[in-house]
Amino acid sequence: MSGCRFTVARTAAEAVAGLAEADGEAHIIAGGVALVLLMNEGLLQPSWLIDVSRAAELQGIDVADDGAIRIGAAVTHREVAASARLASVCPMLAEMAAEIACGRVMNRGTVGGSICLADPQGDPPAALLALDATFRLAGPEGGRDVAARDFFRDLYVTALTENELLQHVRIAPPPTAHRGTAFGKYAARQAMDYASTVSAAVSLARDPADGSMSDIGLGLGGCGTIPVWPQKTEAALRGRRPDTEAFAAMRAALAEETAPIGDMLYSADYKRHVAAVILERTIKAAYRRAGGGGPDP
Amino acid sequence: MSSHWTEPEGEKFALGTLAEQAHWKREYRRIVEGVRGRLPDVGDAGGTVGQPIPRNDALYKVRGRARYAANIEMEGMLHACFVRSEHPHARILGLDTSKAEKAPGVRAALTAADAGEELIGTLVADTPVLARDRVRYAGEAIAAIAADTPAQAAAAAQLVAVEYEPLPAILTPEEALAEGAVEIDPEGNVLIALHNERGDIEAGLAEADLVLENDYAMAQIEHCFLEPPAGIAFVDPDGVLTVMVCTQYPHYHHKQIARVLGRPMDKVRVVQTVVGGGFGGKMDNTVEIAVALLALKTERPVRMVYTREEVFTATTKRHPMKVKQRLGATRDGKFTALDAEYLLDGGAYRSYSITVSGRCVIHAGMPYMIPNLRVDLTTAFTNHVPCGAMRSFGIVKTAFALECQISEMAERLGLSPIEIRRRNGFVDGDTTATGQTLHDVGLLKTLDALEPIYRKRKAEIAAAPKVGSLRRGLGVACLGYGIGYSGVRNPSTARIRVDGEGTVTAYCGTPDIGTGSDMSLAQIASQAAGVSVNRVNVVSGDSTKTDDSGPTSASRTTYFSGNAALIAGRDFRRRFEAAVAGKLRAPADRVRLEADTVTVDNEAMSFKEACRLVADEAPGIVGYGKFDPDIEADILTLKGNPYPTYTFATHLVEIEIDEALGSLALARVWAAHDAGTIVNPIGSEGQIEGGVAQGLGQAVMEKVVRENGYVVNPHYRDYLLPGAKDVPLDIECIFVDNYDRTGPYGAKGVAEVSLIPIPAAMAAAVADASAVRPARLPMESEYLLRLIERRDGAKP
Ligand SMILES: Cc1cc2nc3c(=O)[nH]c(=O)nc-3n(C[C@H](O)[C@H](O)[C@H](O)COP(=O)(O)OP(=O)(O)OC[C@H]3O[C@@H](n4cnc5c(N)ncnc54)[C@H](O)[C@@H]3O)c2cc1C
Repeated sequence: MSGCRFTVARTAAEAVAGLAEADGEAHIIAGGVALVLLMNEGLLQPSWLIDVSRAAELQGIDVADDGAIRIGAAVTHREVAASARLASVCPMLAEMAAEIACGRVMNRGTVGGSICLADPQGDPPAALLALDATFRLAGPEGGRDVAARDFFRDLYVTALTENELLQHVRIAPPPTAHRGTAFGKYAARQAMDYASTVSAAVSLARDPADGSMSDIGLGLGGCGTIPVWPQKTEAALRGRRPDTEAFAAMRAALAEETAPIGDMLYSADYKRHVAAVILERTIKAAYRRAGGGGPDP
Repeated sequence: MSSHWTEPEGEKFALGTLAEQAHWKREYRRIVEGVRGRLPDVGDAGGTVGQPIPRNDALYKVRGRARYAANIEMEGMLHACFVRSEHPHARILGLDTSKAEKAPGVRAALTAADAGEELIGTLVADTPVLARDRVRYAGEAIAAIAADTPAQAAAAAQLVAVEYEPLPAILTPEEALAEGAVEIDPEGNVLIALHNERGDIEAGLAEADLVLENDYAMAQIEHCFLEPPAGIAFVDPDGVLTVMVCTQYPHYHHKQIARVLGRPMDKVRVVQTVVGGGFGGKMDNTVEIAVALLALKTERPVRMVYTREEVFTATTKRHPMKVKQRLGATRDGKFTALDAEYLLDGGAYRSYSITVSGRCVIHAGMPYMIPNLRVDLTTAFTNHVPCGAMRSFGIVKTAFALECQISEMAERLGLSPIEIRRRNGFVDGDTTATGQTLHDVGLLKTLDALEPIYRKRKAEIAAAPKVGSLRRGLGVACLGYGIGYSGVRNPSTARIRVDGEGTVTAYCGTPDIGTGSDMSLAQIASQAAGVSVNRVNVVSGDSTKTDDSGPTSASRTTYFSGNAALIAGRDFRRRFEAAVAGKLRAPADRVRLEADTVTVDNEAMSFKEACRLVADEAPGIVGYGKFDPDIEADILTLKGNPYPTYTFATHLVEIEIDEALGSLALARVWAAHDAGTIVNPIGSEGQIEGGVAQGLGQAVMEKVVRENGYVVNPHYRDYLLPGAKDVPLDIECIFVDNYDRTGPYGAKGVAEVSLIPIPAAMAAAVADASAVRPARLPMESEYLLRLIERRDGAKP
């Protein structure tokens, strides 16, 4: 790795300036969890690294009084897991972050790194799809917003252009007081798995009058070549109570719009089955949090 | 010597200097006592066998002070790496290292032409040091490069041009044994075929009220020692070619290096460095000959450290195995017949396949009295990385098949899994299938110890409400395991010396590979000698300081080297007493060395004082012990007495299965062992806990995935091992009271065996919980889900 330049950006603007100067040759590095692995395996030999882990605009978690959330791109999984404020407004995020790999990955890995890496089985992307988050990108022409649901384009391809970086994530306030969020994940081991995991993120509102579900947001990890936003599955559940029929409809829609990749551990079929089981359980958990009661799955 | 490596005087290099050890011992005691309350005071006590003495290497390791081979730096040291075959099976038409030799930093390239004519191999020398005209597996070493930096060596390795003519690759034993198959080995594709028979199998099957017939399959496993193979070679100022390497068997490498390099035995030395896990994977050839040749060629120290990918693609593995088996029993659960066929994939060279195969045949049906038995084994060559020794030498797989079948038999006959084992389990005086009469068998005691726990948990689980798709179940499996090499003599020796200041050094031939065996040997030697364990310093793992006592493997160190240490300790005591008597002009029978004190009639002096008294003669006071039990067995049928003794155990496990997903978790383990006297309970518990973790991995997730002759998951991302959250916190170790009349202070050995019952017990527990019978390893969740779906008739 001789001759690799390393710049520490103090602000988003500095990082953007560096990207422009490097003209496509620089890589952004945040926690380095993913990037350094690629470098160690010889798959990536960057000539310039721009470290954004200390850039001012990329720091911090803010939760407004109305429940609106802003998370800096350089915020670590550990910070997300440890934020009491976040956990009370949106339990799913803390739940998701707390189950990422292990202490080392949580301490170094960042929300922005996970999003920009765009691994199909990434947990933060699935959560942010369900929450209909907005990504703030910084670039040479200033900033722009991209919806999480428009961000993931193809295997490891995102809406980011060469000279842009992710500055922060915003999540709108909960639509009603009766919202519930939950995150579920399946892996062969209790920790440290990543290659073959399947995860489900759920945000929903429960109508206190008839118990039906609305404002359903779903996100799936490990169910295709990108983090998946299963719109048809959302539609299949909308307006229903979480009963056997609803879940049968959910299964059918899910099978239609997910195409998991079979790997050394699991066939695509099995992953599809797992996704349905996990999603159903996670919906039930979110529904309970929305005040719906019901037994533990 | 032009190196940073200085040899601490008279003690094990790997653990640091004596002064350093004293510090760690104190620290360790302080910490451990903080956790466990006061440890037994071993200061002046006579005997410590049976006491939990803390090991002196633990703190080194956790604080990063242990000197692994990969950490040793020497002045002018070069870094080496192998160039490896890219084909599973091919002729080598041409090999050109000229470009690599001109690459920056490169000091030497090594090819078959430099390596001489001698082949290498642990049991049979069948493997070229570097492939000459043919490669038999992808990953086989073809050339080696030494350069100033590891990166330069790796870059230069890419420049070595190899011209291949691919040959058809044989990927399964079935293909290997098919008529007209390409021959991998000059002697054909059958690596070994063995057969043993007792009684009349057909009559036994006819006598049975129920005969079960099943097929079982077990995937290939990697040892997954954390420390990859590594070693460093240099020539010392006396012209001794020294190789420091992480190994389970330094003496083997010593002899082989002398033979292959044509050097006199006294111009070779092999020093074992701290071993970061072995499990049978460090008994074979890795870097040794290559670094030795490169050190001679370059006249510089040369170090080589394997990458993780090399560990997966080029070190020996556990054999993939298929078992086809019939078990017959009468209505009251007495076994009448076992008919077993084992088919093993041996990979491209012999390695330890012969030992593994022999052990499987000897242990067929063990630990049960089965009057009619037939076992046929075939191990075939394939174009995969060679399979070799791994913890339990195959028995974890034969036990999986047998114990699964027994659990099914119990259920079909309406017997408890404990009762059926009690009705058939070995007792004293029973004869094994090879014709050996057993002594000091504690198997039934292990069943008795677990039965109340089984009953209680069974009732509790039955009474507990079922939560969603979660089900709990209990499973039982037993084992019997022979201690030591199979059917060949494998003596151990020990030598004990003292200096004028009272430091006792025990030179033991079998190295400590991280199990704490040095501590157990110190306990045995000190107790036999009558001195405090704190005085005893064990030197092991240096081929020039100890006799060849075989490897640390086959659960043999406590028993074989322990017996040698016991005999040496007693011999030392006698000689020391005689020396004191000589000085005091007292009759020898009036002098007693006991509990670190020498008494002469009614006078007492400390051992240290006595050492000062005999200081001038101290170098001549050497206790010697050799333990060489009478072992023999026929090499083809294995009839005879293949082992001096056997260790037994029963494990009870509780699992939880999520039937909606098929996922399986190990909740609790109760491990009851008859290992004779337990020399050091902390050490034995550690062995069992490790065995449980390893067994769990093999049971539910571990597998080397091979496609077209290539390992496609050569890293821990895709080769899964259980993590800290997967291994149950509840592992209860129960040591039943038993004494082996042939063992040192009654000890047998516990090392490998704790792994063996886990997969079978888990499979039985799955059957208990979910009424499906897994028949393959690993029991991945997708596989279990399919079984559950079939049970429910959801899918064909
Ligand atoms: C063993 C292991 C287990 C794991 N387990 C999990 C898991 O359970 N769940 C899960 O979700 N993930 C898991 N991961 C992935 C891990 O969470 C992510 O790789 C990590 O969070 C990435 O963050 P980072 O800051 O280290 O990114 P880096 O490695 O620094 O960067 C990753 C990529 O994102 C780009 N990038 C980073 N920040 C920005 C930015 N602000 N703007 C633009 N581009 C940027 C980089 O250029 C690079 O391409 C695991 C990883 C490992 C190694």
